[in-house]
Amino acid sequence: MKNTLLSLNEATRTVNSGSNKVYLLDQINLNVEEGEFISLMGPSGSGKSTLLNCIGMLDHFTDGGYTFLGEPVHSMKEKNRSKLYKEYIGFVFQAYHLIDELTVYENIETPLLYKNVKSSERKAMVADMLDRFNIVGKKDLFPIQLSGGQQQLVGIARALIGQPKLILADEPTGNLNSKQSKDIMELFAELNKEGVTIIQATHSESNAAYGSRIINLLDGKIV
Amino acid sequence: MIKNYFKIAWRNLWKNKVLSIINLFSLSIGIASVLLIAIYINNEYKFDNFHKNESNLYRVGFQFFQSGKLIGSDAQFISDFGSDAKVELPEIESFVRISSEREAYISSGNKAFNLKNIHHADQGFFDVLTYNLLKGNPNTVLKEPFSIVLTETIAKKLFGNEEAIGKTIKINNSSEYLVTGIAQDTPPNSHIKYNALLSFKTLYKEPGNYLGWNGGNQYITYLLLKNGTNPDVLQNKFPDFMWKHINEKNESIGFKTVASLQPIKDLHLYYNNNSKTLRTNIYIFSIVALLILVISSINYINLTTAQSVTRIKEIGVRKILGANKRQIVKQFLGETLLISAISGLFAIMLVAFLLPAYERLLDTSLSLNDSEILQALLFLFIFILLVSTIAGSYRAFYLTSFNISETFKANFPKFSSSFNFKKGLIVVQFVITIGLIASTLFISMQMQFIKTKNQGFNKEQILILPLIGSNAQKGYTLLKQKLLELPEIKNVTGVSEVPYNGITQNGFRPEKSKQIMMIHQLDVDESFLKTFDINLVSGSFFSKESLSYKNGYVINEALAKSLGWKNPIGKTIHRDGDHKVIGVVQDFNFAALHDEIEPLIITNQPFDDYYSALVVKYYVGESLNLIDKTEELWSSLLAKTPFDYWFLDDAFSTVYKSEKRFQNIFYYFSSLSIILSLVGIFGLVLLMLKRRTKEMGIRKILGANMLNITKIVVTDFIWLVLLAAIISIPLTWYYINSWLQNFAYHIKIKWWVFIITALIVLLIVVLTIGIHVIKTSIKNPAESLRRE
Repeated sequence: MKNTLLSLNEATRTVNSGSNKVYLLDQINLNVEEGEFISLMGPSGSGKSTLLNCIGMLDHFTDGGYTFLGEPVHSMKEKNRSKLYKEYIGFVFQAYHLIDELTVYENIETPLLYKNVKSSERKAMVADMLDRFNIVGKKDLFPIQLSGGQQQLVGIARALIGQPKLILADEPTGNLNSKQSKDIMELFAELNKEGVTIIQATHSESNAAYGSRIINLLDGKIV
Repeated sequence: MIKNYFKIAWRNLWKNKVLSIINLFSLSIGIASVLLIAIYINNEYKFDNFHKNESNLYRVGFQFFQSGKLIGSDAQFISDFGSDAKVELPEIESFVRISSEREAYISSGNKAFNLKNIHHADQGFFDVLTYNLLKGNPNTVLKEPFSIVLTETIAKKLFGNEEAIGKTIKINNSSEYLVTGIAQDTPPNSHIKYNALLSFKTLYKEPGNYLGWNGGNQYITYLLLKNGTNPDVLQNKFPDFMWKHINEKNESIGFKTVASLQPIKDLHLYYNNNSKTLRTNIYIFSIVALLILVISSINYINLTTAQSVTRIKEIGVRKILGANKRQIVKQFLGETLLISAISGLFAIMLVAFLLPAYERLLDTSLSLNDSEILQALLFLFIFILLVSTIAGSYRAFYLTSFNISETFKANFPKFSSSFNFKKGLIVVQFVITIGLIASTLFISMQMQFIKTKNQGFNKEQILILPLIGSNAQKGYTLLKQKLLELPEIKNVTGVSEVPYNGITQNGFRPEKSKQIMMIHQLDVDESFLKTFDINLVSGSFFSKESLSYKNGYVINEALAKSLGWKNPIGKTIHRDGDHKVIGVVQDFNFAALHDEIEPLIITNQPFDDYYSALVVKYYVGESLNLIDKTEELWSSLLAKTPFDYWFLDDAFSTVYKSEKRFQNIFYYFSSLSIILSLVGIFGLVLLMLKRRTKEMGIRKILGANMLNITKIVVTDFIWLVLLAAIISIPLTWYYINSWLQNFAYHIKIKWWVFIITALIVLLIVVLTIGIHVIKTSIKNPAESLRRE
């Protein structure tokens, strides 16, 4: 029996533009089971990124209910919310968003610093991750010295180091060529097999195909 | 974690080398200036802190009232005050008196020189006050009459390496004194500076000293109170004490003296002649230090926000990776702390390097002892924390104020909304810069004004020959006659005092007045007016021919005015008999220009029939020859009397030395703050232009040339400069005006100085912008757009 990871109940996100209320997300109902691999599709401005940000608790719904692992996120305090996402969610971005002044090793290590993991444990965990992604030789390089694919690899390694249940990926291959894209998507598929739940936003049909479920968005609504 | 922060901070510093260097430079200089100013102020506050009885030690101050009106105050008073107070007032543990400072020739064997700062001191001097006696018994060195205690330096100068104790010294070529002790030189922070101390009992052996309650206001009294005594209790007993001893007698002439206690630590800053100026200076320097601190912090904020774009992204990432706001604020405060700490280190090196030059500039010794160095470091530490908090918090809170998804969206999220704050900072910077430039201009104008201000007499080509000792004084007539035979010399006059730094006051009673007035008195011979080029307004002056004038007085215009005499000739003034006014001279300034010209009486009857100096007016360009010839003449007439001379115009520059010094220090620090604030403006322009790179690219594609673009940016700044000028001018006006009030003769504040100042600032801004715009607009517009 599969557990429900999160569920959205008529979740809505509006912004005020002048005197008009604009609906970025309009009454979204969504259940995500643990172990799913969901691809969000839709044209630019359809609300994919907003939905990811809201699920990832970087942004918040203005209306409706959001339950994560049985806890009501919509009525939570900021502090508890950040505790929740620190524990269970990892992010991967189109533009990688690595810290330019830190080396590969240090970038991967950073989330552990904020979780107060002990130094010796940190070393072991980062070493495992470098090993697994085959980037041990690059650990002392700065992001600018890596190719896009390699940078995204580091980005994923960094997202995984905290052992999250859910990975949110916003156009993870948007800046990569097709060969690199394929590698990354295969990596996602593998992670998914190991039990990590993944939600990705993408424009590409072929990437979406890696997922177990495709959700189409248009003007903030699921279609 | 901290290691991680330091890495980031260090790598960011390294990446933006130019800005980092400007930033470190600006902060180091800011911190160093504040430290130097703090050292100076500390130095002024630590005067007389070495006395072990400090908390119970007081000097007695006196205020003199004429018909209820305060007419003067002084610490010098009658000698019996101290001894009688000790007997009658049980609160007093002990007392010590010193005489006002004397100047004399001291000689031993073949060695002779003029020595200043000689005081008579009571036997208890080394017991009550804490000065180090190197040789001799502190309780007895000043016990016997004609004993002398020399400082180490003077003893060495007089006796070399020989043992000085037990030797005799001649003073002014007459009395002989026995050296009984050697004292350490007075510390620089002592308000008493002595080169030699003579036993107080000597005074009783010399004729002509007033040592009772009937005159001789030349003695300063220090009182040591019994432990635990409230000074107010003693002070409340003074009125009865003074009534009994002096005020009852003086009531009929409307004269009253009020005694009060002055804590020894406060003498320097509150009870000295120049205390008011000192406190004004300390106040001004505190303001300058504060301004430098503000400028440095603003610079830090501006220069670091200039590089915020990359940091905003970093913060977004860190938040996503689990950092909370507190951790990020901590990180940025820590980063600021690191930069401040590095600047602090540089500042310490700068201060160590500059201290000797600074000491020369201040003309004092600032040598810090170990505990003071510790204090200075503690101060520096607190100061760095303060700067870091001020400068760092803005950045930290500004940078963390974005919500995460915003941080990735644009290069400058929310920038426009915080731009008003930034404009505010620019205006503050301009306000300070304009204020400082204008103040510097006014201060230098005032100093120039004083330098050239007409004294009422001609101080050039005047040589002073002090007549020290009775030999020289008796030789006056012959000396004058022989000197006049020299072709280089135009005129010679004898005077009781040289009019340049204030002269003695005595009590006189003008006709039809029942009350005695304190009026300055100068005794001169017939050649006085010609020698000093002073004009006679009415009546006549003393002359050899009309002996009837000898007993008369010549007064100045100020006295005639203060007495309301329209026609003063023939009126009488009483002092030891009646004296007719025979003439009126134009006002001339016989004191430093701080003071207004006060009433003056000129007599032809010197005290004891002797003048104390000869004033020689010589022809232009003859000074070198003159001194040789004068010395030759002097030694032929007065073989055993030491020869000394000084020039009046040199003496005048000494009188204005502290003003000059203040001016110099002010120049240095104000130029520094001006440079710092220009550095800040440079950084701001850089920041604004960076922000507008895209706009300029688009404008260029649309056909704008460099001039158009410059104009757009400059217009923004002109408004800010104008606004700053409107704020700054009244403030500066107020402060400069109150400073000028310290001077009796001062310039008027001219509005055009402000215009010039504003123009200077504007010019600098336009130039900075111009250079940047040219640099930016030379770039290919496509390139500047691609960066977006």
